[in-house]
Amino acid sequence: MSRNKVWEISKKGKQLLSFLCVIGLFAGGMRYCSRLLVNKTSMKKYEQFFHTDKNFDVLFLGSSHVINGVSPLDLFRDYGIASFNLSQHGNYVRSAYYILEQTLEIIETKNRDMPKVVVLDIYAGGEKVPSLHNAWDGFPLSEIKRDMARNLTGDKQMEMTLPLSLYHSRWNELAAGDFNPAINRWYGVELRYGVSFPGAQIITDPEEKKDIEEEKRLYVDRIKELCTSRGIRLVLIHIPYSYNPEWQREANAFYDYAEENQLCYINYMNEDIGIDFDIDFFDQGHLNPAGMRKMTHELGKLLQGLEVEDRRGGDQAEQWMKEYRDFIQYRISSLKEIKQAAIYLMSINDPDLFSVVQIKRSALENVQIRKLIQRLEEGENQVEIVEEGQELRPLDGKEGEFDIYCTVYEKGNRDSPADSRGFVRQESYAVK
Amino acid sequence: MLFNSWQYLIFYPIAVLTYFILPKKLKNLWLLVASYYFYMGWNPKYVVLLFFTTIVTYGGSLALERHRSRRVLFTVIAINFGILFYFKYARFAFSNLAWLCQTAGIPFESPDFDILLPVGISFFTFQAIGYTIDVYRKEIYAEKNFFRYALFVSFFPQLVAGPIERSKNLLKQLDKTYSFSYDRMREGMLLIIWGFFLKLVIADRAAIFVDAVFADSGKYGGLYIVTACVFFAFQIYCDFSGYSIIAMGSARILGLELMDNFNAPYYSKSIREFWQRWHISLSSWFKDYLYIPLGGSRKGAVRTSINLMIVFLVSGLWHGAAWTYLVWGGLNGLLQVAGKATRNIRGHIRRVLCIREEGFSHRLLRGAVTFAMVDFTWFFFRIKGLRNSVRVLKTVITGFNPWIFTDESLFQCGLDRKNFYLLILSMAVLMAADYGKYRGICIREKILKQDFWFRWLVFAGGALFVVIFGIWGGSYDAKSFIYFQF
Repeated sequence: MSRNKVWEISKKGKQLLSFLCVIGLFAGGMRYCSRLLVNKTSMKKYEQFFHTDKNFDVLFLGSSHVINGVSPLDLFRDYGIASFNLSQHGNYVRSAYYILEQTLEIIETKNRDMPKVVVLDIYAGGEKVPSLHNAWDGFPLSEIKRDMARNLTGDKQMEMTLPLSLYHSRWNELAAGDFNPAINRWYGVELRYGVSFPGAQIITDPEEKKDIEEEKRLYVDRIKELCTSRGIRLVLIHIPYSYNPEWQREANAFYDYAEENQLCYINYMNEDIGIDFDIDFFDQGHLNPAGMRKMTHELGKLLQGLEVEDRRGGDQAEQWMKEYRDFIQYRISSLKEIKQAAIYLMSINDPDLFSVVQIKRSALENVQIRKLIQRLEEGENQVEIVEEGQELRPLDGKEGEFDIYCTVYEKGNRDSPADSRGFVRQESYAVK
Repeated sequence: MLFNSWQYLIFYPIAVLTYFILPKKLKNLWLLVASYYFYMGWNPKYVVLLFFTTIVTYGGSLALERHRSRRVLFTVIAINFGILFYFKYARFAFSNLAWLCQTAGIPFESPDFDILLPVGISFFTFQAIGYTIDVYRKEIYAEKNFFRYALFVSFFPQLVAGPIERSKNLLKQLDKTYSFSYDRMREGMLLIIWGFFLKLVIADRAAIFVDAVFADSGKYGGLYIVTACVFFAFQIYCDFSGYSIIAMGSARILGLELMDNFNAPYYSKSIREFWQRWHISLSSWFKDYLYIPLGGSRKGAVRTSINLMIVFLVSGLWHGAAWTYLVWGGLNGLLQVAGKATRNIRGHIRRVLCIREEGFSHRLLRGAVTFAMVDFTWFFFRIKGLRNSVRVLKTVITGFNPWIFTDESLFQCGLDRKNFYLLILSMAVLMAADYGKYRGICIREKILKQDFWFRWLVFAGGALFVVIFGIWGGSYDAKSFIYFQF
C-alpha cells in the first residue's frame, strides 16, 4: 500500500470521526435539552420508582384520587406493606393499563420482585392528552409507550413519543426547578393541603347503577389478564369523592363486574371509613392529608387481610423508616406554608405531631373549625378553649391578639416547638 | 411533502443514501422516482399534471429542434399556460367577468370552480416553458433522454417552490452522476441548517405576530400594522429564501448546484436593485422570456416603462390570482418606472445639496427608503381584499399609537416578550449574514475553514438551536411555505 493510499484512508477515517462527533454532540445536546425542557410532572413522580432498588408488594393505580389518597410510607409504618403509588392526575383505567405494563417490564428488566397485588381505582375515564403527558413524559421511549400513544392520543402520537416536539417551545418558561427538579421521595403520594368548603355533597345511592363504558371494561379486562399472566392479584377500589353522580353509578355497577370476574372490589363511597366530607377533602374530589391517612389505613387493613407480607422486620425496613422520618420533616416544613386556620388545624392532626391549641370560643362557631378541634381533642393533643374577653397566651410568648394559637411539637420532642402559628378571625382565620 | 415535515426528514436521507449506493446508470432514474414520490406526498392525483407538462415540453422541444416553428412553440406554451390558467386563474377571471356582466346588466353566471391548486405548478410550468424557449432559440439542444428531461422538470429539491432552474444550468449537471463527497455534504448540511433557521426560527415566529395583527386589523391599527408589515417583510423573505436554501443544500449533497435565489435583497438601494436580488430565478426568467422579447429598454423610454409595467403586472399575477397581487406588482412596476424617470432630478438635487452619492449617510438613506417602499408594497401582498386594504391603510394614518413600543402592547400579539426579542435578535443575525453576502463574503466558506471544534459546534449547535427555538411540532401546525400557493 502506498503512502498516499494510507493517507487517503486516514483522511476518510477522520471525516467519519468528525461526522460521528457532530452527530454525537447533536444527540447529546438533544438528550440534555429534552430532559431540561420537558414538563417535569412525570419525571418527579416516577424517578424514585426508576432508581430504587426496593421491591414493592403492592402497586396502586388510578387518578389523582389515588395520588392524594394513598401514602405508601404510612402503609409501611402501620402495616409493613411495601408499596408504590403509580397513579397520576387525570389518568384513568386506560392509561393505568399501560403504566402497569410498562412498570412491570421495568421490574422484570431490573430483576426486581414482581408485586403481589395491584390496586386499581376504577374512577372515571377518558384521559386527555395533557394528562397523558403528565404521566408518560418521564418514561423512556418503549414499544409499550408507542402502543399507548397509538391507542390513546389520536393525532398527537408524535408529541407523546418525542416529547421535545411539544416542549421545545418551553425554553421561555425554564425556571430553577427545571434544572433541579424536586423529585417526589414519598413513593408517589402527593399531599394536598386544603379543606374544601362545606356544602352540598353529591353522593348517589349504592343501588343506582350505570353500564360500565365498553372501552373501560375492555381495559380493566386487559389489566386483569396482565395481572393473571404475572401471578398478581388485582383488587379494584373506588376512593370517595362527592361529585359526578354518573361515575358513582358506574362504580356501583363494578360490584357486578367484580363478581363476574371473581375480583375483590371495595367501593369506599359506600363504606363507613370515618371520612368526613366537611374536613377530609381538599376539594370535592381529592382527599387532604387527614383524609388520606384514613383511606390509607383502610387499604392497610384490606391488604393485611389479603395476606400481603409485613416487611417491618425485613432488610429494607430501616431504609423505609428513615424515609418515613424524612416524610415527617417534610410535613412539618409544609406547615410553615399554610396560611389558613382550617388547613393548619387539619394538618396538625397528625399521628407524628403533638399540638397545643388555644382557641376562642367564638371561633368554634365555624363548623369546620369546630369539627377539626374536636378531632384534635380526640387525638393526643391539648386543646384549651378560651372564653370571650380573655386573651390567648401563646406558649412561645408571642404577642398579639389571636383567635387561635397553635404550638406544634414533633412527638418525642417537647423541648422546642416544630412550628407555632396564630390566626385571627378576619379573612377566614387567616394567619397573623 | 414539506421540507419541514417528518416525511421529508425520513425521505431525504433514504433518497440520498440510495442515490450514492446505486450504480451510475440507475442514479438519475432513482432521483426521478424519488422526485415523483416527493410530489405525490402532497397529492398523488396531480402527478399526472407534472407528467403531462413534461411530455408536452419534451415532445415539443424535440419537434422544435427538427423544425424551428413558431406555431409549435406557441402551441406548447399555450397548452402549458392553459393548464396553469385553468387551475390558477380561471376562478378569478370568471368571477371578475361575472362582476363586469352584472355591472353591465348582462346575464352571466360564473361556473363553479372547485379546484385545488396543484402545488408548485407555476414553478415547474415556467421551468419547462423556459427550456422550450431555449431550444427554440437554439441556445441549447433538446434533451433526447426522456428520463433525464423528466428529472430536470421534477427534481425534488426545487420542484414545488423553486428556484426556477434554467436548462443551461441544471440539465447540464444532470448529464453526469455524482458520488459522495464529504465536502459537499458539509456544505449542504450547513445550507440546510441555515435554511431551517430562516424558516422555523424567523419566518414562522414572525408569522405568529403578523397573523395576529392582520387577523384583527380593526383592533390593531396604526403602528401595529407598520410593525406587522416590517415583520412580514422578514417573514416572506425568510420563508422563501429558507426554502430555496434548503433546496440548494439538499441538491448540493447530491452533487448538484442550484442557483442562489436571493442576494441580500434588503440591502438594495433602489427598487431596480431589489429585483435583481429578490427571487432571482423568477426575475431573470421574466427578463429573458418576457421583458427582452417585448423590446426591453431598446425602444425608448415610454416603451421601456410600458414593458416594465407589463412584466411587473404579470409577476403580480404569477404570485396569485387576486387584485391585491396585481396592485403589488403594479406598484413595484410604478416605483421602478418612477425611479428611472426621476433619476436626473435626484442627481441634480444631490449636486445642489452637495450630497456625496457614495457617502454612508446617503447610502443608508437610500437603503431605508427602498426598504420602506418595498415594505409598503408587501402590505398589499399580505392584506386580503382591496377594500380592506384601503380601510387598514386609513387606520395606519389615523391611529397614531407610538406608546405600543414602550408599554407591553406589542407582546400581546401572539409573541410574548422573550419570543419577540428572540425574533428581533434572529433578524439581526440574518441582516449581519446578509451584509457579509452583500460585501461578497461567503460566511459558509469562512466557517468551513475554521478548526474542527468550531465547525462541530456550528453544525451541532446550529441544528440544536433550530430544534429548540424553531416553531414546529406540538399544537403548532407547521405553516406551509408561503410560496407553495404560487
